[in-house]
Amino acid sequence: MRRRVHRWRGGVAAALALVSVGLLWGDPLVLAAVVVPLIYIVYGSLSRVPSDASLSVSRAVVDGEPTPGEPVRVELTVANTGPAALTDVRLIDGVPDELAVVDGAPRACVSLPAGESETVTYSVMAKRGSYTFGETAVRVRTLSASDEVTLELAADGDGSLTCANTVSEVPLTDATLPRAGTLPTDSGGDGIEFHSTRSYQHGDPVNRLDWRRYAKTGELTTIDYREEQAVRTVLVVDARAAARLTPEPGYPTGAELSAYAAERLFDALSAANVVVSVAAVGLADEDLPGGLGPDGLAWVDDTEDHTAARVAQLFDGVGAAAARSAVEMPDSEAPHQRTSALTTDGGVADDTLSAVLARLPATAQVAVFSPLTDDWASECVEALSQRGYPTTLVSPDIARRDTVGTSLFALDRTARLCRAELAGATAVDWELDTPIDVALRASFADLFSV
Amino acid sequence: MYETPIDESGLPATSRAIVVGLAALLSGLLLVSAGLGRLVPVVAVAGLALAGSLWLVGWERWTAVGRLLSSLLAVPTSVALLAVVGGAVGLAVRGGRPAPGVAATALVALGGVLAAFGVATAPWGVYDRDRALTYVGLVGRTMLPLVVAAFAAGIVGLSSGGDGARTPAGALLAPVVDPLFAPVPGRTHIGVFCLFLAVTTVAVERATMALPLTELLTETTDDTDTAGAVESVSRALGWGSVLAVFVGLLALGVETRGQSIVAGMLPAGFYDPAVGLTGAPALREFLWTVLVASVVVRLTVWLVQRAARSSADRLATVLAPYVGGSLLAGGLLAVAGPLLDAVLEAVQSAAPAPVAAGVTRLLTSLVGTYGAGPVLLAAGLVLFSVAGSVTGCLWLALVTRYLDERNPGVHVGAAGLFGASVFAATLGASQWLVLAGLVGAVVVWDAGTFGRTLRREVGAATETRRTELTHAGGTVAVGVVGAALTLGVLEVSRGTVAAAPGTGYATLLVALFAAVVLVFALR
Repeated sequence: MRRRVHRWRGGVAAALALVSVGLLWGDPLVLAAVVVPLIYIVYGSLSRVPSDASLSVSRAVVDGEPTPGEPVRVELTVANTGPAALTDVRLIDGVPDELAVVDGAPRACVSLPAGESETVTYSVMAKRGSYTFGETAVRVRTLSASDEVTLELAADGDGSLTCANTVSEVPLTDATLPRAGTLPTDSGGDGIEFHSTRSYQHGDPVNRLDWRRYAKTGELTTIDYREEQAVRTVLVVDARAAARLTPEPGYPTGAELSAYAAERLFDALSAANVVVSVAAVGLADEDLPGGLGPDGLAWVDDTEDHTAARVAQLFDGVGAAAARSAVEMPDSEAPHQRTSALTTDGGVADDTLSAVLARLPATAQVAVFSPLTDDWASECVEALSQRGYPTTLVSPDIARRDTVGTSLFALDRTARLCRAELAGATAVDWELDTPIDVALRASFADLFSV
Repeated sequence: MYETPIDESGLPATSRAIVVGLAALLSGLLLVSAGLGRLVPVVAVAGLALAGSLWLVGWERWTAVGRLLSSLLAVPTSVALLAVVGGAVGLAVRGGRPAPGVAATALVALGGVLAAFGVATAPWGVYDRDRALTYVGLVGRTMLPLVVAAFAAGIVGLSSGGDGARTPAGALLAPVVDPLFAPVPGRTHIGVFCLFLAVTTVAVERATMALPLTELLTETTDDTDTAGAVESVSRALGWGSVLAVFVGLLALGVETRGQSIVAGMLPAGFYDPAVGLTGAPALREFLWTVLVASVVVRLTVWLVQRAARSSADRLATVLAPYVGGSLLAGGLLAVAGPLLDAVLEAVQSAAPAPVAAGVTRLLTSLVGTYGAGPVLLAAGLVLFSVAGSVTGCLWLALVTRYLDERNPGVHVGAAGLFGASVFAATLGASQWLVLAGLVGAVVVWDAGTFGRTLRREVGAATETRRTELTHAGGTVAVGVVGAALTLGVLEVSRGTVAAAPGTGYATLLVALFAAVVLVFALR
């Protein structure tokens, strides 16, 4: 789009002012000086953006597969492919609305001689999901700035930023043993741990025969190992409004980070043939296709069809809820004070927690993912432990500790983690500058008794 | 979505340097070339003080302090503005310039002030509609205590009891002021006295009841019936005022029929005391002082009550101009005599003899009539009016859209430099300097508006120096060509074109046409 900017028209007034003063005071110099504003008018009128001006834009996302909360460098290169020099080229890259620019600026103003190029570098904060860059807005002005052409160019190269949608590395390699399950039982059968011996029966696997005993006595005996039963692992993501705090604008919220950690674990457990259910608390009907269950929970079982797709929808729902009401971490915790989810006699006073407990199978192991912005998650862990569920609490640390308020929040969070550990749960404190895989690997043995 | 904040105000560093450096250098040189070298610091102070006032009035970090300093800064700002104009005129007259030359000199000085103001406001965008309007309101509120003080102190002097009766204002106010402060001696003034007493009593009652007496006295005494006592006092004052009004109206009717009837109606031996009591000027002045003090107390309580409903910051912000005005009024009344002496001494030493003599005569006469305090308070009001009027004009220029609100400081600064160049040319300044001033004015305007657009479109975090320098270089190059062509035209036309000063109606028509075009261009 071409636009003429009549910025030199004030020269007419200046010229007339000079004529007036020159005549009133009878000064030839002032009269002759009319040439000065007039030549600027001519300058502005004749100035045109060259018709054969041509630009190309290319974009490179330097870190192709970042993790949420990690800055990603983007390089935008603009090249003057036309024959004429362009003295004033302004461009704004089409950064997706969801991504915050944390370093540099996706805007630039460059002067480009013919055939030359300039590269603009900036960084965005990665968020879970795939984000497509928009077209790059470019505005070319003449030297007099009286003529401008605005256009939108599709950049070559990387057009999107994908953040950990797929698991490139399964960190929990020990979990990939071909077993029926992970919960030890008192019955003999397949497994690892010795349970008992018995007389050979026709059809017993050859690898379970006690060949030493056969060599000594000549009798065939079969070794039974402690049979391990398949259990269901339930991943509970805390996506309540209180958990949707973000340490700074543009950074993923605590709920999103919790969902990310749960997604990583879900993928790993699925690869290890563990039966997994995923639940998210605090979502609204609009966050999930088909809405929530009758008990107000977003719950996906591994036994249903298209489990992976439905789990992905659930995690996307957490992202949608966080995008709807992300709140920057306040200096004081006051807005998030709430009543206890537990009663003094060990009962449950919170509807959400009651719904979770009602849905849990008897043999479930539970992993709760929460930024611990309030007591709900630690009380949830207490309730689970009281009912005999092996429980793990995974908590992303979103406290920056740069103000008194956030330092106090960090202290509260540490106290909640201790409370969960005292209740018998395994607490995983995920510091965001370390990969979640490392934190999960450290706790995996406790969680799945490997 | 969290958007990257774009700071749209102000200019990028390179444009800022071009605007400030070029305007300051060229306007300084033009002032010197116009024979106003001694005024350069005053011109700079006037422009910077005005810009500083606008900056302070929008200082968000310390709002109350900013408002207070801004209201106090109005005085030096106005003094500097008047000194610039007065000094330029004085220097031109002393230099023997004719009337057009005097006008041109004053316009060069004003152009310098505008350039200083423009370059001080443009880089940081402190000149905008809101600040200008806030400053005008601030000046108005600061003037209020001065008006009250001047009224309270000056009105007694305007009565026949003071010397102000001889002045036109005294003559105008005599029918109102004389019955109050200078009653005719030798007769009773029971009616006016009682009405005056009634008004004062009502004011005292309102002021007393506004004070938190009940709360304060209950905490310090064991008397539990404090509220009842206060109520009784209030009721007594109320009835007293009603009685005074009744007696006053009755007495007014009687006194108009003659003093003999009054003497006949009063008990024996009461007439003379009544004449002395109701006609005593000292008693009237006492009542007036009590009335003014009661009104001030009531106003103060009202302000505190109103402000106490908001935060401490808000309270301080609201009260700041009143505090500033009260400080100024108190200060002026306290040091009125020495200050006036110092002013007279300064005028006599700096101004030409006829001017000094005239000012001395005028000030002596005014002080003799009204007293030093009211004169200084009136001078303070005039100074505040100057600052308020100038800022009001700046606000009006924005409201009526004669100035582009996106960065009006640049336009004002460039226009000031342009005007200074043009009028310096009429005073015989160097051709090179005049042409440099004209081209410089265009470059200042161009760099300012270009930089502002650049900042708005690409933000403050982007490196733009190369583009800014390239653009400014192009403008300078075109200006150099224009200047060379001007000199060529001047050389070619030398001796062939003669423009006599004031070439009749044609000039006026062109000037009128230019004014119309200027208005439309600025719109």
